[in-house]
Amino acid sequence: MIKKIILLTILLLSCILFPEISLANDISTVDAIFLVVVFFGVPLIILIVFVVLGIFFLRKIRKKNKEDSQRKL
Amino acid sequence: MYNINVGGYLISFFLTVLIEFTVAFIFKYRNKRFFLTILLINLITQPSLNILLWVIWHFVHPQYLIRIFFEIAVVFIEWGLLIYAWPQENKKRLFLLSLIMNLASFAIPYIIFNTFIFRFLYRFLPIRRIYF
Repeated sequence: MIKKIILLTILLLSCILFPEISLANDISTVDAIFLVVVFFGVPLIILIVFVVLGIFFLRKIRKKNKEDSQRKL
Repeated sequence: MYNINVGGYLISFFLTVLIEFTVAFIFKYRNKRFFLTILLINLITQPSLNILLWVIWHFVHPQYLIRIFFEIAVVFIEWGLLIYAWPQENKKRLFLLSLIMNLASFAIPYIIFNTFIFRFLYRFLPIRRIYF
């Protein structure tokens, strides 16, 4: 199971980093669906992770700023 | 094709953050918390921009129009995030800051890496060109 996950991760990363290699060859429908999922799914997940983490810490900063402004008042 | 160049992205990310820090410093936002806000905002916008550009690059032309459209969108998104994190600050001033930060981070690397000296270096030395 772990080996499969590692292999899949390597495959995913290789498809992200070298998409032209994957698309240069003739691919079957299943591979094409897989590639579409990789092309849109993985970037979307990375995007969501960055956005969620960023907003989480920005909320903390907002709270601190509000506390500071209330203290000043 | 719009290639994923992780090293190039890291350099462009840190250069962008450095330029935006400098602009914020000029605007007299000189505390650690504000710099952290800028860093976090860039952590949200830069990967999003690059990933969206990478995905859309394959389907939409002309490419410079997409880039300009997303850069304008980034100005407004960063403005919104700055207002969210610093609600007590002047909104117009934050918009001006966001606009100038993004203009500077877009223009300065472009000017630097497209000067004659760098074109000469790209031609004769085995270094990779960095796109911002």
